[in-house]
Amino acid sequence: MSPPVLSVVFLSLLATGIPIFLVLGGLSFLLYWMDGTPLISLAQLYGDRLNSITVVSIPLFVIAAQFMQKGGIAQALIDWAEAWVGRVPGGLAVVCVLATTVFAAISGSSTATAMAMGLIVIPAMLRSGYAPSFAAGTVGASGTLGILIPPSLVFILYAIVAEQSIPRLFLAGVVPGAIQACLFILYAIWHARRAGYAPSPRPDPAAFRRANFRALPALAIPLVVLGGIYSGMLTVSEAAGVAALLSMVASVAIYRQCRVAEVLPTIAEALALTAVLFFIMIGAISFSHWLISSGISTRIVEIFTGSGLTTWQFLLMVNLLLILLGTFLEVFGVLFIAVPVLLPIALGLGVDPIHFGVILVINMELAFITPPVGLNLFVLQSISTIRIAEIFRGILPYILILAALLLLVTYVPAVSLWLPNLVYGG
Amino acid sequence: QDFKLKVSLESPDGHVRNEAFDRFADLVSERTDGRVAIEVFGSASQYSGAEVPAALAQGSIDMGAPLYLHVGRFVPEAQFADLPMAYGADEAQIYAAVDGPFGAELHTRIEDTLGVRVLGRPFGVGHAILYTTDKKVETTADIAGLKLRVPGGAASVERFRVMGANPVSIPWPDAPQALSRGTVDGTLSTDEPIRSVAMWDSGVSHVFLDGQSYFMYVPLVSGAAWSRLPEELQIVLTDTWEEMIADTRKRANARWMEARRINQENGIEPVEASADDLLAMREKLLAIQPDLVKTLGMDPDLIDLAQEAF
Amino acid sequence: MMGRIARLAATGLDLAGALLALVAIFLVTWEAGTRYVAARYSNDWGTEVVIYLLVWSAALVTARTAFETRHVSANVLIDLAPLRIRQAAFLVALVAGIAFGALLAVYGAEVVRFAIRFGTTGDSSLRLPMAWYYSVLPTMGALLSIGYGVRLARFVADPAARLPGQTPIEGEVA
Ligand code: NA
Ligand code: NA
Repeated sequence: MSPPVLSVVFLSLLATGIPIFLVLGGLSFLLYWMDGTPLISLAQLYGDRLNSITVVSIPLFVIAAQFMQKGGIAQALIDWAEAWVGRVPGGLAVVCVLATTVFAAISGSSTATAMAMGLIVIPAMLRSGYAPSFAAGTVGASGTLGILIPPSLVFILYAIVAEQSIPRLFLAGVVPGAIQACLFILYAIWHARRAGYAPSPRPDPAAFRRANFRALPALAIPLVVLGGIYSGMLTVSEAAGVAALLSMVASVAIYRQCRVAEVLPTIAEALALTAVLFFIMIGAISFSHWLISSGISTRIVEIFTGSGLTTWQFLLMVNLLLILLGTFLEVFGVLFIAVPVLLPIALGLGVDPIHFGVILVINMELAFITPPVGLNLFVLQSISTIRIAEIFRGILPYILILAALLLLVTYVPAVSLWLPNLVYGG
Repeated sequence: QDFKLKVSLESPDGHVRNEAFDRFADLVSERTDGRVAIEVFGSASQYSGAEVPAALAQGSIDMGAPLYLHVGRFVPEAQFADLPMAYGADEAQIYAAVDGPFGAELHTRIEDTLGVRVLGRPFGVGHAILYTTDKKVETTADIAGLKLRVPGGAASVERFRVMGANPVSIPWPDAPQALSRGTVDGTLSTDEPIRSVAMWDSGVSHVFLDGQSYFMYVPLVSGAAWSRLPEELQIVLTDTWEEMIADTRKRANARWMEARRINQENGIEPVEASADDLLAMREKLLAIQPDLVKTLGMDPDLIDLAQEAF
Repeated sequence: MMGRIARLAATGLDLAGALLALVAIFLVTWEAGTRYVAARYSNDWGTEVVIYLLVWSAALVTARTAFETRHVSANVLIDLAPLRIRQAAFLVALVAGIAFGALLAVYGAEVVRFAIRFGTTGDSSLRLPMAWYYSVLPTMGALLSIGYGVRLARFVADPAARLPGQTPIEGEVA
């Protein structure tokens, strides 16, 4: 099949709403068959690529996220943040960003973060007289920190596709994540001042102590998980397992938001989410496997590297393309479709693969909050009665801030690379 | 061009294995007047090393050069160099085994089992040796008590157990971190991977040259691809490989000596094991060999044949 | 009756999958802990077993993901189309899902036979037969086909029921 024909077939199939994994996997079977390659090799490939310790850190992190979403951990973090920063203007919005930032250091998922935080913060903000659009926008946009601040499912999947070190990628997200959180907090304060939102009341000393005490287990989880990875005590998959165990224990025994009888169904729900991911992954792996062996990807790379495009022009083009794809496609589709084609070009132009990974993740953050297909928007819709147009109005300033962060990270590689290079050497 | 053969290699361009196949491709093209085009796919863009034997047997790829270690999943005797009898053996002894009657029989079994064609004699990637961080190993006795990363393989695990070490399986991408943070005290590795990921940055500072095992690439052609070729072209392929093998082995050897030199320049001190020490340890290890041969499902007669070289 | 059996089976598969995952969580944590506390308990097979358990656990819930049409798709365009076209597209997607599952089952079974023929085992000292692991492939394929098949039966019985696409939150994780 010639590349233009293939592209048309591919896009038409996607447009009919056939699941992405079926389009990728089905086309792979067809293309292998047309090439005369024995089809057993496709199934063999699926089995061998799932047989990986990196891959199985995905279900473990998803299980962790599923238990954290049960509520207790999020509530404890919000109370804690409120005790500390509730007095600043726009207190609840600042609390939301701060608590989400800490929550993001436990959760590897953007939607789980937005959901867990939104369920508690949005009603609280509405009760305190905040505009629904601002409340929803702040929660939805902060939720994307889940995939930028480690641990991050998107970094893990990128690491699998790009064969990069997960700890390095995780570290590369820390500084951009901190910048994003600071920018969001500054905007929240500015907006709240203008709108005249009142700060939260000052907590009495007993309540202050209680909030801190109750938050201790929740705050301990990221310390154990990330501390474990960076002290070398835990491999990434072990850290994922520990995260799953701790969040399970915390939500069952400490915060009591999950009954023992709910443990297995909660895990099963996480497994269903994992299975969905696994299927997209194997479909994409077999498809890009075909792209490589057919020589098409080499030709695409040659076209780009021979076109005289400079690195900054290429990166600008990548960002525009990813934003466009991210507007209409779901995040994992973008990741698995775009990375196998774009990464070799980036490497050919001398872009650091870790840097490229962070650029990709910030684009995916944007994809989560840009309509029409923005999963954080759907989360907000499903957990509140706020209309999508209002959500969008509230989230638009955050989209612009995130776009500015994207430009900064794209054109100042040190923002992402400084920390991992400091720790692991350049 | 009448025939196209795709070679699937895990190593990147510029690796000694890829260069060997590049030279092979040029020579074959020249000698067949371009009738046979050999195309090299590097960097595991198609299959990782461990997947190559199955892919060849299933006819998904035309050619590959997996480690004997990876062929060992199908033909256990291919892991002979991991057995105690080969502990501390030098390269000449290993080559004597694969070039002699043992190698011939091993290759016949590989061909019969996998339905592939062994194109010719294998070439080495060097000894798997013990690279350690601050725990300096000067004699085999120092190995006891160390936490060591093994790349897998029951033989390596059992060998370390006899030596009193704790073998830990950690995937290679996590190895630098595990070493720099002291999760393990060292790793079993050949010289080149240590150089290519600059393992001295992860705190590796010693290497004990005992020769735990010896890694080799064996050139294989899938049965389907081989039978497509007319006999005269098959002969060109085998002859060309055989003609190149001495030079290929020399280049491979030079490459890992170079890697070891670079490792040393970056502060990784080599310690030679004494011949007596190695011999004594080999004797000790040999006690578990019969059991190991059995667990690994090897044919004891064939292993006896290999043992004559050591 | 059929519905009740399907629900029971789905719940059973869920619980089995969740149990495997729970064992994996304990095993991977145990591994990490014992490496420091008591190195003599550490082993070289934990990683392998954890992988097998988790891949199997995700495979067991496959039928439900198909039946509940949780697999993500790009619905932006098709959602704008008239109902009849959306129904037709959904039918095509279900049939494609059944076909893909069948292909995975057939060729996955070939992979299992291949592993049995050579008696291949894992790399760890447990020497677990690879066939045990690879059986996950035909299982996944069959469960996917069954899941989509049941969904197809329900769609044929009641084409007016809600189509997927209006609830894009389904099947999302990150
Ligand atoms: Na995170
Ligand atoms: Na979007």
